[in-house]
Amino acid sequence: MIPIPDLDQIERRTWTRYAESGLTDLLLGAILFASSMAAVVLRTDLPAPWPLVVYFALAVPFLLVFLGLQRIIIVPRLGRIRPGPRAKARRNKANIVAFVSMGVTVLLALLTVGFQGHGFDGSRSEVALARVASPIVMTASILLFFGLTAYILDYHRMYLIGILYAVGIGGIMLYVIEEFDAGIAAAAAAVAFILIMGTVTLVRWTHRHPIPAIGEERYAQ
Amino acid sequence: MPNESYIQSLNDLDRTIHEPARLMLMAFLYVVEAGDYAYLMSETGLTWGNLGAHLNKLEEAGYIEIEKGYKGKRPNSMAHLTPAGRAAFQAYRQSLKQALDSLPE
Repeated sequence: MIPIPDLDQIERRTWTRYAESGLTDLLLGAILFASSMAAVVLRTDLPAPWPLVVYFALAVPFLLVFLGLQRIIIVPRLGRIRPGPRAKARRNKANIVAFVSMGVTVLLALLTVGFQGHGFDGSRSEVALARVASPIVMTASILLFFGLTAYILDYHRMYLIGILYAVGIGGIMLYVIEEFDAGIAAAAAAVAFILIMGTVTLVRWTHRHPIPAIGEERYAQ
Repeated sequence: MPNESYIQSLNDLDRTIHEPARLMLMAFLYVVEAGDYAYLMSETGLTWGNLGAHLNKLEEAGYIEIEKGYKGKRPNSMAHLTPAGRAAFQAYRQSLKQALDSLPE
């Protein structure tokens, strides 16, 4: 007797199968690397826009390479789908979580950078906000963002990536705010861990998923 | 001994869908709006020849439609369930569930 297909499990696979490749891990590692490099530039005497310039000069090519690799490696192996209503709802939830969490993170980053520049009079409340509250809230928002996204998308490696991101961003903030050099080393270690994990996962995944031989022209006739 | 309703439920099963490869194809297409051949091959493990044959049968039954298209210069056709296909798959699941539920412990 044929078992009844478990549609929930099949629907979940339409999401998780893309995350299984490890390519998203590589993009996230590369973005953290770009943030680390921007922090290093922030500590130099270069004028204000340079950290942002460095960040985007690294992050945008990384994103383009990711999209290219996705087209070359992932799509030929897994194919294309138009997601169903449940998958779309799941994606929308993830987008809302990402939007809110990223908004909070960016706001805190801007506040922190602002305190490093003009207007920081060194009052106790501002020092407390810059040195204690901002890093804690930022780290918490990162953990919340990655945790919720991992839960919504069933992307279990993202829990670990979230912890590594929290370590990395926390390290970067310590490096920038407190001039604590070990902070950037922590960020570098987090980047290295994510990139190695993503590379190993991707290599193993490509071995397990050869490109299927498709003679589509013949069927189309 | 299986009772009468169990036998009746088995008799009601849609033979077009009941074949394991076609059941897989229907299930994978049921959860998405549409999927291309690479998606169906990677998920079901069917070869290109088998996939084409089973898709033909489902298309002849009116359960799926093939949208023939291109991505760049490469053919990229997408398959999707028709409303009749969705209804037939739901009815099949219901019948199979009834049949299995009727089995003695």
